[in-house]
Amino acid sequence: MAGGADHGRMERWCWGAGSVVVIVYALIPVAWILSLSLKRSADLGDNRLFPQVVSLEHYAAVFRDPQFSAALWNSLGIAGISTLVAVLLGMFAAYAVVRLEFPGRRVILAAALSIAMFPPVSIIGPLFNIWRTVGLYDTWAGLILPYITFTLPLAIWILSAFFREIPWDLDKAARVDGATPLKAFVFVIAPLAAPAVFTAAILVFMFAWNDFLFAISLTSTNDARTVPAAIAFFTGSSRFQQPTGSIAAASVVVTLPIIIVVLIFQRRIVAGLTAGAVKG
Amino acid sequence: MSEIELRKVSKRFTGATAVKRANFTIRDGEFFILVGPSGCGKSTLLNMIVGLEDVSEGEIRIDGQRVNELDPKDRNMAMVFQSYALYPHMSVRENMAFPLKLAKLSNPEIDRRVARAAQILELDEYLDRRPRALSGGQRQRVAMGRAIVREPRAFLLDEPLSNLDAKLRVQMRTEIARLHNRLGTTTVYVTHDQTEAMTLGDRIAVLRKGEVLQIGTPRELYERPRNLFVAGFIGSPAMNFLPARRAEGRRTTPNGGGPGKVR
Repeated sequence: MAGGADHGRMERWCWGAGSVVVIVYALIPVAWILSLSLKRSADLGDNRLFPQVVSLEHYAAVFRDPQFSAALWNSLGIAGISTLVAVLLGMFAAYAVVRLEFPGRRVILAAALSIAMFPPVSIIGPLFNIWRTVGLYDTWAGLILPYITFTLPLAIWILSAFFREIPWDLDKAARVDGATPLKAFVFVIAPLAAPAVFTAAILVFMFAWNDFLFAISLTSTNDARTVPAAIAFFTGSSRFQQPTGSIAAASVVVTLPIIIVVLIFQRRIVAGLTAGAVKG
Repeated sequence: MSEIELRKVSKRFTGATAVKRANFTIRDGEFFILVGPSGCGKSTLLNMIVGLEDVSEGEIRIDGQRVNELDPKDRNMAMVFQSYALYPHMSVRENMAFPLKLAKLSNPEIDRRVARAAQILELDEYLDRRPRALSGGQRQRVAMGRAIVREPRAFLLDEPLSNLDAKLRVQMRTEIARLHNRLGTTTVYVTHDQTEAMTLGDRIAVLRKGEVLQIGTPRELYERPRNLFVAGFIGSPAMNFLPARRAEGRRTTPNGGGPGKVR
């Protein structure tokens, strides 16, 4: 069966080549920005992919800038709190939507989805004015609120899809075993939903971490400006110099937390924890 | 140990009646079977007794005390589910200890009871395994274990054997009977399998479409079925039905079968 073997080799080769194309396509910009961040200022325009001399001067410059450290702290805090609140609220909402019979629960899911689809740019203007009036402009809460609003629907959808897979008998068993509804949720359902919780958390975190629109519109100082907005305020060392190197270095720095978070949690995201709950 | 009394208990879902005025008493220490074809309301009845479903009408009393409004956690009953409903993220030990932890028992007491249940059910070697590493029969036993550690007022079993293969089913049936003899706890057992009903039960209630058709010991149901449905449902091989005509105190069958006295 020489033809069959040939066929198999051909197929593997095609898969391999396809994968390489996709990876190169996706990673070339990243490699480029990494390379820019490591070049000396003088070499920035040398049209080479690999830096001639690896230098950390831009990283040093970025971290010397108090604006960047403040922005990094703001980003971590705002994204962290948004994630925590959105996932927590999302868990309760999703559980209610899946397990409780109440009028309009389909409407809730549909409404949640429509909020997620809503273009944020259309509310920026009014939000700017409202926030200035009520004193939320340029505060952490002023960013956390819209982030939660726009990520909560996503969290609810992910979590409710997962809760639906958890056998209802487990809730019932816990209730008969003497648990209050809250205890049944905390000790039985929540641990089983961990993979979905991590998935939702990562997506919410990435939304908040990467957001530029709200951050640039609703902040004005280091009090609440996050990294994506702060990068736009970078300046070169003189007014004749482009801040290319610093921007590249800052971009690499803000990419790292996301990569770390995903690497840490990717194993936990693997579902299959429910295997063995029921027969099969 | 307790007596469970159902007084004209009905359950209505929107548009449909699942249980119609069930009215009977399960005696203290009795092994009581609810049997009937699927959709006859037997599981609904069980869920109402344990408190997972509200009672639409009527009253459930345990030891003379009305429990309609009592939360399942306060009824101190243990239930074994058809799917076993083991907690997959907990070991066998943790599964069995879970109800005891919720009841806030001391750790030595929890260990003692879990060890005893494990010994009764021959689960000693598996205490640290997760449910997914167990066979069907072992999972079933863990579910039983989780029920007996609590020393509850009653056991409620919802088709506990229907997920097992035929041979194991017979074996577990014997074990459940032995367990009941040993513990003497009031047991309500739901099944659609008449063999289980006939072999296990002290008394049996036959249900159809939410109605209790007859209650009695296996022998009573077998020898004096009250209607054709009970007669056809009980017994293996199934009872033969012949159309017959009754005339002048005698009955005749179309095939000219022998005449006999009408009872």
